[in-house]
Amino acid sequence: MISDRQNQAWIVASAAQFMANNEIETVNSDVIDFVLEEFVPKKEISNELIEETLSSLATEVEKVM
Amino acid sequence: MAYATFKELVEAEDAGKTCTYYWRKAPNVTVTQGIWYDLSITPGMPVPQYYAATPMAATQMSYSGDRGIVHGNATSKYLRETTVMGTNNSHVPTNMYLLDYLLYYPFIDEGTTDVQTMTNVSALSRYTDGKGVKIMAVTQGARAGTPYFTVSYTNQDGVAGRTTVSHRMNNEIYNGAISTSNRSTADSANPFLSLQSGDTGVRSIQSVTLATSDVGLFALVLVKPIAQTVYREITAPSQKDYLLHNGVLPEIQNDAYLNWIACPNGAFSASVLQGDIKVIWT
Repeated sequence: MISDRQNQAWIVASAAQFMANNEIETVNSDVIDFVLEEFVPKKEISNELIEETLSSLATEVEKVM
Repeated sequence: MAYATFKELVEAEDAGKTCTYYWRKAPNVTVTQGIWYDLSITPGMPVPQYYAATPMAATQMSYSGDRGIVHGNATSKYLRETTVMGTNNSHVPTNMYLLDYLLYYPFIDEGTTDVQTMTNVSALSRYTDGKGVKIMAVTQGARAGTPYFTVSYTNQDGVAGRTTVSHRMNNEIYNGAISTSNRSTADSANPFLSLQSGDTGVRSIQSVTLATSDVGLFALVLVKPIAQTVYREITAPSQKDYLLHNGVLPEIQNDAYLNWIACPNGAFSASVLQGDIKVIWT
């Protein structure tokens, strides 16, 4: 059973990886679009969790990068 | 192709069968004295990676998929030299291992003492017999305490249900700290987990169990140590010639994901570690 906390960390790390691979320094619309395209289709992750993660993505990504 | 004589190596070098790659890492956190740190997640070159994959599912690492230190396209090659330089004397000497990162299980939750089962959707693609393959725990979310944990794994002979020694985590709060790394705490592992008596390697991980719950997250990474070196001072680079100093050139397998871990002897922040590796093939 994967917890929301684990899934949130996965989303944040994936966003950070996208930013590193594409030399993006701050969260922008490309990063948001990437997260939505990558995670909305995953049925095991609720849209509410994705929205909640996106609301603090800039802060959380800084901790990873 | 494997080398049989030193003459072959000299001829290969004369023929230009080498690859030299410059790497540079600059941590944006303060790495604590005596705590091993994973430079693969550190800003710089090569581009960092963050173990970003499905929680607790085995995920392969490779040069073609994740980049890492460049080592050329030859299928069979050897590490000839490494050079390490730095800009800050405050953390010398810094012990360093060059690793081939093979497989990882990300985002293991420290918030439960239940047995957490890994999903083995992928297997080792290099060192497939598991001999010499080690387990490294990397912090992915800050913890508050110092919980003990064990790992159930399949050993180098394919025997499942083997169990590591119970190891204690540190409470470093930055991502990339090797979770079991400590200077003086009993039952830390520094930096690879101790396997069950008699085992020499790991093929896969089945589950993880924490003795007490905490708030952190960590990844378990299966790695093959390739080489060891030391960053000693800022006035001269530390160069290691593996033929002269080791008498043997470590093999680097095709599509290996190469990167460093480092253990600074002093707070390591706002400074740069850089260097190069030279690879040769015959």
